Amino acid sequence: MRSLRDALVVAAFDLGESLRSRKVLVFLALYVAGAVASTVIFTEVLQTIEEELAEQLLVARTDTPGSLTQAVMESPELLDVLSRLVRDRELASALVQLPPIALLYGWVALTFGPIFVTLTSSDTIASELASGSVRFALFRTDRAAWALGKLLGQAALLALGVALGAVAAWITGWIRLSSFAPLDTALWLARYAATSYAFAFAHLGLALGISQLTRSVPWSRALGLLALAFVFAAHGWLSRDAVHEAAPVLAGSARMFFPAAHRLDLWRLEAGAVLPSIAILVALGFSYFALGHVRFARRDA
Amino acid sequence: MSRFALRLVGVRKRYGRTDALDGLTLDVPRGALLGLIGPNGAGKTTTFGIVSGSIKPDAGTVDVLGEGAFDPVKHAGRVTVLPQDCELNPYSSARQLLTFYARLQGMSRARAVKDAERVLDLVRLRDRQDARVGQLSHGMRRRLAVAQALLGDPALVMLDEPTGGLDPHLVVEMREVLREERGKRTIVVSSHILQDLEATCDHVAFMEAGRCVKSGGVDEVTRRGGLVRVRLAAPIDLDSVRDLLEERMPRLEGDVLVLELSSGEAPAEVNAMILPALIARGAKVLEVQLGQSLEAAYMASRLPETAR
Repeated sequence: MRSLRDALVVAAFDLGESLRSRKVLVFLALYVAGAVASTVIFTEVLQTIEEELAEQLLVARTDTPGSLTQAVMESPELLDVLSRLVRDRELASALVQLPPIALLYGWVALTFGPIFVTLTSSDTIASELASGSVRFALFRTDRAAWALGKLLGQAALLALGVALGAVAAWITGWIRLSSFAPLDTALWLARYAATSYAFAFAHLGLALGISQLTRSVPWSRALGLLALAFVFAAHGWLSRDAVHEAAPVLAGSARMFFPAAHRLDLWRLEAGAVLPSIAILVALGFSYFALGHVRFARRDA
Repeated sequence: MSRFALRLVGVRKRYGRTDALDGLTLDVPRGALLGLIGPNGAGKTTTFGIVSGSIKPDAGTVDVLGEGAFDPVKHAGRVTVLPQDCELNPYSSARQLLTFYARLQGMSRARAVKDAERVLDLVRLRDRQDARVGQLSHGMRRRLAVAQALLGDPALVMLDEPTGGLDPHLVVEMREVLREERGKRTIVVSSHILQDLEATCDHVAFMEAGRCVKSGGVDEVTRRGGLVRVRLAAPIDLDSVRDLLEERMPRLEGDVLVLELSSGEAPAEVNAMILPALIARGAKVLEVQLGQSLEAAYMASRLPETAR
């Protein structure tokens, strides 16, 4: 109980320190700006498509996008594109019924969340080892509690980033789309914010695990980016048809240790399909973190 | 309860090909204010790191407060450390940072805030309590680092170079802080400034090449009860006073006449007997000092170059 309490004390302090540092504020601003920019670009594209559709249907064009959103979303072309992306036509048919802003935000968060956490968090522990500030804490609490507190602090920061991005996307959609459904969009945004958070958490665990391996900040950052590239590349390689055919059981099992293997399940609408993937992603995050901690627990601080 | 706050027996630590600690054995009595003295590379900082658990020893045993090796959970709040050359987290205010450390020692939030304010008063930083740590001067950050080691009611406080980089008047203030804490807890201080340690410590230990080459009470190490040093305006002919001082094994070190006392002799009585006789024989006495300076004791204890 004492260790858990200490971990929460460290987490609260770490979140405060992060928010007071300019670096994280810049990254948070970039995250929100990314959500806004992608929503704006989406609505611009939507308007262009709607204008073309209006010409084809011989109906009046409008200045604000969204008047023909449902028609665009249900177009066979979009359904084809989405089916290829999620590799499931039935799921694609269900997804096109959802608020487009929520779908877009889910895609943005799943794509950029891992990069965001790697850039903001991969030097979290290494920087404290390098500056020696860790030595003021390690005689007050055990290393596991301190490191876990760091992970929880960064997890809270990530939650803030994901939530701010979702709010920014909702506001932008509300301003720019004429057929915007506020409540429905908010609910689906919350849903995809939560699933993309789980996906990013797995990468956060990887970043914090790496951060425990070295006291060099540049090395920690470089290793964090390399590890991120590795988990995506390894998953991509294991997913190749040739590899799958050569060793189906091995390749299929090995893929499960990489977060990207669980990404598609996060789009599914049934809780029974999504929750196990969320649980696996969270477990993967803690596992990566624990692997790094094995080294940290034995080294000189 | 062990009469030692800290015991290290045969502690070894190696970095690559260098022995940072080479079988260090050291006892620190409870309630002592012990000065740890040694040149750069003697192993003082490694000793602090090992005692506080941030560095793992390769061999040997460490007994902290008679309860075995340091355990951050078991000893939380009872052993505190000022590590050397370590930066404090820069973005919080002085009070926020101290409150955080106090909470890690197990205090409730309200008590932690109160204790943070107490130690800020102690190191004269209360007026800067809301300033960000990164915006404080080097001296202020050093005082803040000392303050964190005084949070709560620790039984053992380890301070590595607490006066390093401080202005002279702050060194004096820091010395006062240590004097105020003397007797309340066991304090181990490492410093290069021997005058500081001589003025504040009651015990000293000399370290050299990862070993303790001498330790004991300051009076014992500097031989305050066994040596009288008489500074003269000009050297005298030793033969002219030899009959007076035969039993005292007199010797001249420049213009200082050094006399050995027999055990049990009170220095004041010896002085009362010898000084008038010396003056009567024409010696011009400038100063009488009991024992040698800590610096002289330290230099005398240093290992020969080949043994370092």
